Amino acid sequence: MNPSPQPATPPSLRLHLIVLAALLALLLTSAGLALLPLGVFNTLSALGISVAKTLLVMAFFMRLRRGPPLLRIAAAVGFAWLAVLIGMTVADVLTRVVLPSPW
Amino acid sequence: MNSIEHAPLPRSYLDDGHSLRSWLLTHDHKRIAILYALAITFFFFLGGFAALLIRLELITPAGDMLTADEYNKAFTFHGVVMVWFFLIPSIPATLGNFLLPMMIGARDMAFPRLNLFSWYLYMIGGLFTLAMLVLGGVDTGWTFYTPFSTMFSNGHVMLTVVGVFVVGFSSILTGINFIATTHSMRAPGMTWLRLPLFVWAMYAVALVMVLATPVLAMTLSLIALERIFGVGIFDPALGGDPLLFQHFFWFYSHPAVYIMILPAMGVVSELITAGARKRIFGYRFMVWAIVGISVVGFLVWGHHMFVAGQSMYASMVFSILSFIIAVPSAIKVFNWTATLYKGRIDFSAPMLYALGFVGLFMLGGMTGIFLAATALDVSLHDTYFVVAHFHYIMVGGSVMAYLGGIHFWWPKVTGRLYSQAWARFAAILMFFGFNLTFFPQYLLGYEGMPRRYHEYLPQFQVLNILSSAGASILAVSYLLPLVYLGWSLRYGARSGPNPWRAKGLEWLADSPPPTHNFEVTPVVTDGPYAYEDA
Amino acid sequence: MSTDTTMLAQQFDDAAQQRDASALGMWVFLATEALFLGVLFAGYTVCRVRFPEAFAAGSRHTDMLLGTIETAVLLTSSCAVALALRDVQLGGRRIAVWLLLLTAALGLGFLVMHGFEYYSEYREGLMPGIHYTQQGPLAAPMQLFFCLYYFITGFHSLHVGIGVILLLVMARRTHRAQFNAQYCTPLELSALYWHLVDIVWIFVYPLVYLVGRAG
Repeated sequence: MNPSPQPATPPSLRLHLIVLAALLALLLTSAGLALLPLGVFNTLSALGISVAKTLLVMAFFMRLRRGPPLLRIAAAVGFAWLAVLIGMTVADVLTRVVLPSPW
Repeated sequence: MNSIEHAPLPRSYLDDGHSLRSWLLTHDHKRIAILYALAITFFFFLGGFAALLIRLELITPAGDMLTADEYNKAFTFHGVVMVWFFLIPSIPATLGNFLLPMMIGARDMAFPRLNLFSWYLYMIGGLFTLAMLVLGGVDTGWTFYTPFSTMFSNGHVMLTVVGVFVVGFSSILTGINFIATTHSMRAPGMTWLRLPLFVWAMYAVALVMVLATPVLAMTLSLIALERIFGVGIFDPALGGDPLLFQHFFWFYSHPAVYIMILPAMGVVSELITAGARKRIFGYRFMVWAIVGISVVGFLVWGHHMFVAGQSMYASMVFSILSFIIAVPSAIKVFNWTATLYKGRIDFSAPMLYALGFVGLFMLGGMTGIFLAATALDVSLHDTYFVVAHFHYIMVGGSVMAYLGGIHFWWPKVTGRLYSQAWARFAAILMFFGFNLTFFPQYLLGYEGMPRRYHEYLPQFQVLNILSSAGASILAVSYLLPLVYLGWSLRYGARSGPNPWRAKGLEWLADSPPPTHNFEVTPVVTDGPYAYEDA
Repeated sequence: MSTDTTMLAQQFDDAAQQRDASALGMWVFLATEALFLGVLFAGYTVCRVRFPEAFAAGSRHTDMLLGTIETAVLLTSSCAVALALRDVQLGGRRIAVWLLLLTAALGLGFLVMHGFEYYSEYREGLMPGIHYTQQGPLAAPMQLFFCLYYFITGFHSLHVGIGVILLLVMARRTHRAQFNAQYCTPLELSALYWHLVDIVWIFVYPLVYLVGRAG
């Protein structure tokens, strides 16, 4: 309901290019961090940067920042359900008594 | 559309073209609903035939009629067809397609072409399944457990998997359509808390379809890839995890049970209010129960894996969550009962089906609580107790409600009235036939008869004969509606717009409705089920 | 409301309702895509939790430089399609067509680069079930990594391929002036799809190429 009026003026060219620059900078950061021995933080930083990049793409390129809240909910629900699938499956695997492999 | 005609009534959707082309290329949600109804009826009787073979085999303890392999193929075919080609699309794709736009006061679905496309996907998936049947069947069970399905089965696993994959996308597209329609197509004044409970059920079921089915699609793809290349992540020889398959499979297939039962709950809420001529008791509770079931239903899948090697801690969590889902289910049963209290109950056929649903659903749900208890499940798992439990929900619940809905909205869909006497007889026969078929299976399971075997110990014979006898009664009660409803199509009395004097926007339109449902978009000023004011 | 009523389907009251419904439908579809591909990531997580060393070893066999370039290509293409949509919404046409063609070209370039990756992995004997010649204690669980690698990148490439076709169709329709500032829903939805393809790859990149690089 409450149909939104005509789309607001699209974000500026400048904003698009700034976001792209930020995305590429994050890409190089994540590549660089992967080469440093940080232990478990290698994985965490890589995933954290991926989340940041995703949020940038969704907020600006996909225009969720100024879009209807319903669309944000739809996007969030997809990820939340995936988190349930991964979380509960991994929780089982981590607490299971694993039989040793044959090799 | 037809501005030249001066007839007071616009043409009904049934008269809007009679050619085959006008049906196969229609974008009208009502015609698509009928296309679906014809297709799922065909598959229902096909799956029913497999059930007939199973029950015939089980009359005697010896495995004499079907070989073990043939028996495996019979119950696999029965399961695959009944789950994906009948129960999942049953209420949503037929009654939901027909009624959802009408109940919210819309002219059509949000995406009519997508709607038609999803029917074609269903048919393509059906063709794959028929090909599987013709070429010799598949023996994995409808659950496709690895590593049997990926490495050992010689049946036509690929064909079946492709068929189910395709039909899965049909249900995803239906779900997307329902969600977009409910959000954006409601008539003025039709706020969320004025939606009929059937619409809420369709919305919730669409959420489940959309969020669960993709997981099934990918899981089946993984099975196919593992069969093609001989390697994959479920392969224990590589350190892969067959249990991972079960996680993925039940992440879809447990919510799939709610795809079957939530629409049934929606139908029954409409039937009971109209039959008792009362407002639904606790509308908001009913809404929250529907939404609650659809959400919590996603968190309980591990109760299928208590004895499969899942971790004890995971089992405990899944067990508790499974108990929790009994709460909203019970709220619904209480509220239906409370709605009946002091109502002026009209015991016509739809009401009989609805009452049958409430009783059978309650029995099925209560035995589900037995199975959710980890300790009890160890001895009941994979016995006939489980078979009886889910048939009470799926057949006693969903099919009963589906037929109740068909009887309730038949005058709206076809514009004809059917014989109440025959319909009441069929409903009562179905209730007795069903209980005779499946109640003995509780006892069999309790005594330890395992499922999926074509032979059994001699002491189980009496109960098995009772069950097979019940199945034949059940078969008659399923064939009867075909006869008297078919008869009514040609000889039934014409129905007015509202033969039940029921509330709801769909009853404002003519029977059968015109192509675009409403001449003037209705404006809603009150909640649903305003029966006392009538 | 809108002067252009020819694009309004009969079931809708006005253009805004149509656009809202389409956008919501597309976002729900994107959520299903996330779950569809997410199963592979769930499988990845479970297997990696089991065999961290094998996954690190497997990841070291992949081409990190090429993977980084591919990521940059997809990110840039995402920006290009967003700019194309912006141009159409501001009333433009010519620049939008070129930006859409650029996006499709970048997508195609991505596929070509990935083809080279597959080819070199085939030559190294890293394809389980087809040509797998690895030896040693990690060889068996490393097959899990490579299975997942091919499943994930394969499904992703399939989506890239569909996206490229979609973008070319949109470029053609834009060229024929079928979109304008009031009506460009198909273009909007195609752009959303392309962004999703990009987002999936954003997660593929660290999980496939960046594991165990420091050691």
